[in-house]
Amino acid sequence: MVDSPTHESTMASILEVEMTAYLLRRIVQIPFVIVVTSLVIFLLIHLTPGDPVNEILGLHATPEMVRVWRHKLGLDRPLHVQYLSWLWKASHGDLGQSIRSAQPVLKLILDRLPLTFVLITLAMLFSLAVSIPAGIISAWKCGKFPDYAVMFLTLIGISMPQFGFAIILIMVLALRLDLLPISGIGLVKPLQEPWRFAQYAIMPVLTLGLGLTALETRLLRSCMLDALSEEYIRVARAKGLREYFILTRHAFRNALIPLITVVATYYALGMGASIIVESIFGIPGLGSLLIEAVWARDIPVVQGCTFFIAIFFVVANLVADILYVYVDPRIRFQ
Amino acid sequence: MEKKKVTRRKFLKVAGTVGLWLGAAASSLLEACAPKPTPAPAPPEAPTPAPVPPEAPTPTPVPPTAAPTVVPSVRKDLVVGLHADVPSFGAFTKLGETGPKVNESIIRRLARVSHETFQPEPELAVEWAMEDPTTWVIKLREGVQWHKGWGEVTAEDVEYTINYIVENQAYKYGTGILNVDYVKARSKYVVEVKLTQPFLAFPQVTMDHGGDICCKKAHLEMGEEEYKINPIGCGPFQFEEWVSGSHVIIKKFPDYWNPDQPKVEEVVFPIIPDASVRLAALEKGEIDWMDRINGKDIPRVRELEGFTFENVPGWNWDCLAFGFAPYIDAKYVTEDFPTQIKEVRQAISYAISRQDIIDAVYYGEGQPSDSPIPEGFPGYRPWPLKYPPEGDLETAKSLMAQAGVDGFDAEVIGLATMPWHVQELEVIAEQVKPLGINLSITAVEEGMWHERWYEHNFTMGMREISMVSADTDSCLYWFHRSGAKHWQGWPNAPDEWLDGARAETDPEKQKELYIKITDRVIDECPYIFTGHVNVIRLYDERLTGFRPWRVYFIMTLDDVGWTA
Repeated sequence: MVDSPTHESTMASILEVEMTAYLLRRIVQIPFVIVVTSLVIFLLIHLTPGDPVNEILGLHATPEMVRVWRHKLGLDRPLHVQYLSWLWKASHGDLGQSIRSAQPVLKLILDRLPLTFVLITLAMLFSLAVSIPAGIISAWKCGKFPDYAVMFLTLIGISMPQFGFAIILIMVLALRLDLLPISGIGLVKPLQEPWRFAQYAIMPVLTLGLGLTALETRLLRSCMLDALSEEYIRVARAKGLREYFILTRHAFRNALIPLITVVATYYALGMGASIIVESIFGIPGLGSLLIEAVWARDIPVVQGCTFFIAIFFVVANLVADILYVYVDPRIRFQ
Repeated sequence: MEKKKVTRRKFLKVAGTVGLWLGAAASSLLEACAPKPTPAPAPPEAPTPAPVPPEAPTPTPVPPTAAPTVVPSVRKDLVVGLHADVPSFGAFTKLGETGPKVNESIIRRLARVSHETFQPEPELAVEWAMEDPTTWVIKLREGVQWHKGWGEVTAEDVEYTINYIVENQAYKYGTGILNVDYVKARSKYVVEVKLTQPFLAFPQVTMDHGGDICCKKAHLEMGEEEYKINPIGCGPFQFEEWVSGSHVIIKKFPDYWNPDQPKVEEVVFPIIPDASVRLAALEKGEIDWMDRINGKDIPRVRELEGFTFENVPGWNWDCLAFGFAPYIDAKYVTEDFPTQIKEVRQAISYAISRQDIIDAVYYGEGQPSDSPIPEGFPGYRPWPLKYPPEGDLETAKSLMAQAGVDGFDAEVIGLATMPWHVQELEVIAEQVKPLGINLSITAVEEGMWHERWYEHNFTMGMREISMVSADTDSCLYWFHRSGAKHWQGWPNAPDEWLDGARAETDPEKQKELYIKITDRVIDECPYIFTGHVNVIRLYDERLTGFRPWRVYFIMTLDDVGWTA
């Protein structure tokens, strides 16, 4: 019988085996993805005009000084030697030293990564907290005033550039109303001063979350409308289920898949996309570290940052794939 | 046998457990978000006193300038907004523009040239004299202490620092440390500097710009990599904390040799890259001082209540530089290209209205000039020397006719990270259009700009140069054919005059050489100078004690304090 306990347990076992095999396949792929990504970034950064030694020594450097420093930094070695040397060390947890500051790259990244991660996570939570109810209500009241209001607001959210929104927030919340501080989050210890940290984080989080909220709301609305037009929803209504349960337990669950994709992608992209927000608010995060390294041609730091972003991307997508299965059991791992 | 199945309840249970672990991890993350200051080095053991050799002949003393007026201080802290992160600290690496703003309060120089009087003032050195044309003798201030228990400043530290720069060709080699053969400590407080040739500007250049002295003992024990992030100096402030990308904190050094300095206990340097945000932070009171103001904000901030708008003539020049064949890649310039003709370059110089550039791009904050020598430098003559500030289109056209050139197209590169240069090029492009010259402007980012300049891949380029020292040599050595990368192939570079001026010991003869060099530069126009731009700073009007340095990369806080 299709619905017998034996059949259900058999299906569950098959699911576990499939999931384990799938996870193992994805985990095995991770080093390959990271190696290919790091190689591409390595080649791109070396093709980019600009010599890091010139950035260190300045315009007064003689050719002899440049030669001495390039040798000291190992930049006169063949490219493949440089890359393989970096890869070997990276596999042992050593991402090299910053050319500009001579600090270990791993230390620089680990010092900056947590703040970026926390801000992106807060922005994500904020966007979900707003976009889920807004998307559901907009779909439920499609064609009526709430739908028009949500669509209008999301249009502004998508159209508004991050920089512009940040400046507006600063002008209104910081300067005009004197409610929030503008910069200095790096001076605050979050666990010791959580409320003060929150004050500093509000504007960056709103800026980071604005576009994402608008995107998620529109996406969710679209998926909800698709789901609400399905036969099973009509059946549910005919059975007399309350509209709340129909929206949340049935339609929303089917609309969740694209949202998971957006969330997972945002986490990885957000690491680099936070550059603008970090520059505006003076946040010592991974984005600002990356852009400073690019300008200074600090090759080890650029490689280290992209290495971490690649890892994030892979892990985020893996988590998304796992969540798909639990949200929609129809999805298999083959 | 119990049959396993993955149900929603089980999934939620697992998810809940995972969530608790994630929460714990998040707490660790938040803890990790806390500022990560670079740990201060352990204080050293007490040093063994070195034997004091016999004293050298006493050099002729240089009278010190009067100290600034002491003012009562109300607030004990100061917040200085920086526009970029500090690359590092110390005496041996490039510090960018923001690094010296912090470094100058930690690391002291042998002498510091006043930008008002042009005279070197004692700092670590109290007396100095030229014993013979290639030997300078310096007497150090006694009793000056290194920070954090690293002992007393002695001649050995000076010997070590300068010899290190020479042997390793470190950052200020070739600019501040010029023509140095060796340095030797004659006694505990007396240093002998032997030069490879006479150098009259030794106090202004080597003792000032090249005179940052590091602690030998600390540098040897810590190593250069550690010293760069945990500098040990002898200035009025000692290094406390640096969170890369966020801020630097320095605190008052209690054992500073001058008991009246500094006036504040702590200085915080938050890093706020965006100029508009930095200005907003200043207006809000989150920071007390800033520079590098957006040009468009200048008219408003001039009249801003509650703030001091400080604008001083800058020791810098903006210029349009030409590449010369065959040094420059033939793809960009050939020997028959119009810019290789002197009259064409002169025509461009005549066509430019320097006054319009200063007014339009810098809102009047600058001086139009056709000379590379700012006011007050040896060899300065009042501008204009040849080209009128408002331009002279008729003369420009006749020069073009004389050269037999109707017009041409050319690319000019400018730095995208200096948008005022791109604006300046736009103004120049309009001004030379009547000559039939069409300039296409390529704004490149800094790495690309350096690459194109160093690899000789440009036709014309806009540059901004700040003088690193109060000597005319720093204005003119850009034209020297050998050595660093600034020479762009000009065949008539006045090397012999530049070398002669550097080695000349008679100030009047030196000035004559500088005038000859300047006249040749202005006549042949390898660079066309457009002006000297004011250095602008904005700070809380209750602050006092700032010295009006004429370059952006110097800042001293010795006497800065609050009056209310």
